[in-house]
Amino acid sequence: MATSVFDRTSASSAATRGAAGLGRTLALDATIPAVLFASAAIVIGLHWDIAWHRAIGRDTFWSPPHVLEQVAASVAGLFCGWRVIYTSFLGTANDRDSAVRWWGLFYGPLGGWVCIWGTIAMISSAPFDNWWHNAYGLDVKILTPPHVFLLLGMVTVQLGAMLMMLAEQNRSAAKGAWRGVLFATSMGLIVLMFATTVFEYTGVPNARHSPLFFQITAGLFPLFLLAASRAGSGAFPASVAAGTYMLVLIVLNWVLALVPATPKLAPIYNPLTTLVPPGFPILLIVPAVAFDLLMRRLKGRDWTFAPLAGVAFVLLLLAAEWPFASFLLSLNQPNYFFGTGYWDYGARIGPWTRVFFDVPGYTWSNGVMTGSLDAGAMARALAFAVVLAIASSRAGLWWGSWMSRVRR
Amino acid sequence: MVGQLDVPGAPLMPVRTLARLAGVVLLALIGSAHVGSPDTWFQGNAGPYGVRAVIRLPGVIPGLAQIDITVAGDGVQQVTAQPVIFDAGTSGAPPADVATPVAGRPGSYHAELWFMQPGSFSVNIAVHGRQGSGTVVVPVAAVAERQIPLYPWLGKLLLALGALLVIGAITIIRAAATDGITAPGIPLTAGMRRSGMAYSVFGAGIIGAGLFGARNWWSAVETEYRSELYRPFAATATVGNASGARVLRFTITDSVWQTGRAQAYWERYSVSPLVPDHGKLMHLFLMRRDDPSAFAHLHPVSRDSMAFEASLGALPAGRYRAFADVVHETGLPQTMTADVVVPPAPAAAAAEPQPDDAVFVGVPTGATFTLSDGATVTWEGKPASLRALDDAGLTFVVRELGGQVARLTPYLGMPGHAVVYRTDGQVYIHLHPNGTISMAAQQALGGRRATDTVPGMLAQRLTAAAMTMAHANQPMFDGRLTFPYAFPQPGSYRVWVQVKRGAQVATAPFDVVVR
Repeated sequence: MATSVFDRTSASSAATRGAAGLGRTLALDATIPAVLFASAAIVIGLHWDIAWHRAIGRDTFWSPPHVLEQVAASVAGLFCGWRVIYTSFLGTANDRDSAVRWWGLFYGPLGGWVCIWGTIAMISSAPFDNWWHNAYGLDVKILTPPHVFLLLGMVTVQLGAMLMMLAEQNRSAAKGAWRGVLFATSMGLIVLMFATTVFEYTGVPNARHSPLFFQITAGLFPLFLLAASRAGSGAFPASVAAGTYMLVLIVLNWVLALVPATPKLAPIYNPLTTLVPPGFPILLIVPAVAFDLLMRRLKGRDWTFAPLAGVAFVLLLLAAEWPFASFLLSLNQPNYFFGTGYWDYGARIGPWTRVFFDVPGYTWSNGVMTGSLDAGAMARALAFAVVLAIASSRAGLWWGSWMSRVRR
Repeated sequence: MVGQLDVPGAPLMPVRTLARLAGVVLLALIGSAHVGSPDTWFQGNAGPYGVRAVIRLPGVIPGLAQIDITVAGDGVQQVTAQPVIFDAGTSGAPPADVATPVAGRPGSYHAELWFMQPGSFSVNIAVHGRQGSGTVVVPVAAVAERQIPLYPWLGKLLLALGALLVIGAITIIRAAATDGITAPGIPLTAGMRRSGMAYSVFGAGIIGAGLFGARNWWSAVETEYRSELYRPFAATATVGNASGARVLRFTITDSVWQTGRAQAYWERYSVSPLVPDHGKLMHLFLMRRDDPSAFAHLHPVSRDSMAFEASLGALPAGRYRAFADVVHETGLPQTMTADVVVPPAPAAAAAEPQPDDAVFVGVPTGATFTLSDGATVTWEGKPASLRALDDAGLTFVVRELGGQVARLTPYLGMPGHAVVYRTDGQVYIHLHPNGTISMAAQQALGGRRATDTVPGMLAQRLTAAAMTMAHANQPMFDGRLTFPYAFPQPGSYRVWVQVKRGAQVATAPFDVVVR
């Protein structure tokens, strides 16, 4: 371009051209795979880091999982940043018309802005976290203010990636199937991220007969699955999202269990030789398929749909996960294929690894489980889970409706 | 009196090396076993190898300790360091870390160790080489003792980024309700603008609530951290009268000691019985506040579990600072402090101090101090001033009247003792030729067995061993003494060196300015 990049009049004369070449490709085409990579790398890096902490214990700012997170944040921020610079000053009028204007000067896709926000939050958390460690100790805790700030940045980058896929999907006249799949996949990565934050209560099969497991999953997952189902252009967006969540975890199980590792922190009660894989995913695919099927039949009747979806979620998850969790616990530990029976270096392996935790009616004492299921207490807990699932479903439908309107 | 500096609450100076290491300005340093002197200096033998080690704890737990080891002897192949907590012993310790040789300094090694929980630890240093292998136990008290402020630059950076993120988030929320859901090229309607404004205000409210919650969370973490900070037991000291002689009564008044219930995590190591260090349950030092020419090294005897008593001998009247060193069965050492007013001695002859107790009145006379019988104690190579955190190279030589190096009787099992005291009372430590460590802590951490499950079992064994030791015939020591140590902070210091010649305890004072 011969004219100043700030000269709108001259730039608009090139409205249909734009600055062609590598710059344009990087700004417009490459951002899609770049942010999708960032979203996946963020959640995979998080799982790698968790596996590292559970097996090795020690790390540094430059441990490989941390570097993956740093790369992910940089890729999202740099690509989206370039897209904003390109669209604002080098792109065509059409480019700017299909972007969100920012402070009267900058133009970029909504998802791009969200990604940039997330990147800045992730980067800001680093010196804050470093100071935190100096002031209060090298935390072995997951939940500290700087870590939550980092998690917020990570989730935001993922949301930005999802919104960019969404805008591509919604703007496309052709409604190309791959755009819908990319959107649903990006939603699946978000599902995985949130599943990771509640891992403590839902991660191991031992937790999956407890009231809390059903209440947490009911409160959390219908939101994302129904939003995906409502906004996705394909036939089975929620199923693709749930499938993505499950597939990534299963592959992580297979890979992480092969990575050699030695515990470096005391006390070591469980002498490990590999990283600790995350364990078999929750069978979210079952309610997700139901959501996609219901979505077609109940269009425009959200107040009917939400209660139905809430009940369906809890009942289907109960029907699928209850026996499946029993099956997982019946396997020899550890089981490579299903990724179960792997415990942290500090765990004192014993009979407790073979029983369900916190099931009403059962008591665990002196290494023996006694009692029988308190059906009444369980039913009341599940009823509460249904209430949570209905609220989550309604919110998901509302969010999904907004998402179907995202154009830029 | 040279370089007297008696300013209560004198500003604490930044500690250069730590600041360099961690990029940290230290606000407060309260020593653990010792006062204001947090680093551990050690000299001893790991089997056939002479080992000198400096262990710099992070001041915050969990944290990384920096360990510098120098090994004397040929054929050293590997040096390792392993953190071992009292309760778990070596079987519950992580694998030892191989210390890396320091380039350009033969015999020097460096290691970083993780201390994951507060407590009484030892760092077990092992040396492997052609002469075989040897291990030595160096006790360290891993406790949180440091508080740092948010660095000003970081505060400004976080404020700027935070403002950017808040404005950015509100802009995103507005865009999500306006531009973002408008087809390309279509201008916004007035209704959409209004709705965008409404969502912005709503979003700002949510963000505000989130920030408020984050602030409260941070405050809660700060409060919890403060409650876990190390603090020595509270104690009082008074002087009473027993059959005409003045008796110092030192009482542990701390509720944790009195109730036996730990509040902070580290305190579970301080609710265990005391064990004798060099045969004495308590080593108490008195320094006169306004003029440290009067000094006493006493060994109060326990009257009950709280109170300890010692005769004051001929100590002049005045206001004194008392520093009382004890060691718990867990290997955790503590220095309690108290102020005490000593009244004039009664007209009747003062009671003789107990054997091994010493009362001294006198001022330094440069690098050499002449004892009453003409023998001398010389600080070899005494510099005009020292730099904080640099190896002070404390070497003292005791010479008889004729100039020959003296032979020393063991004084409480040691060739000699040195007491380092910053004249404002903010730094105090009791040194031996093996460094800053307590022998009793070393014995407790090295001697604990897995079967010592009941508090007091180990203490009983250690006490019995101390009795045997007291009656054993100990060899004489050479009159040349080195104390591994670095002065932790700038200031004016007085150092008292104490040795035993025949049955007499001799005390020699020295002054030094540390910059």
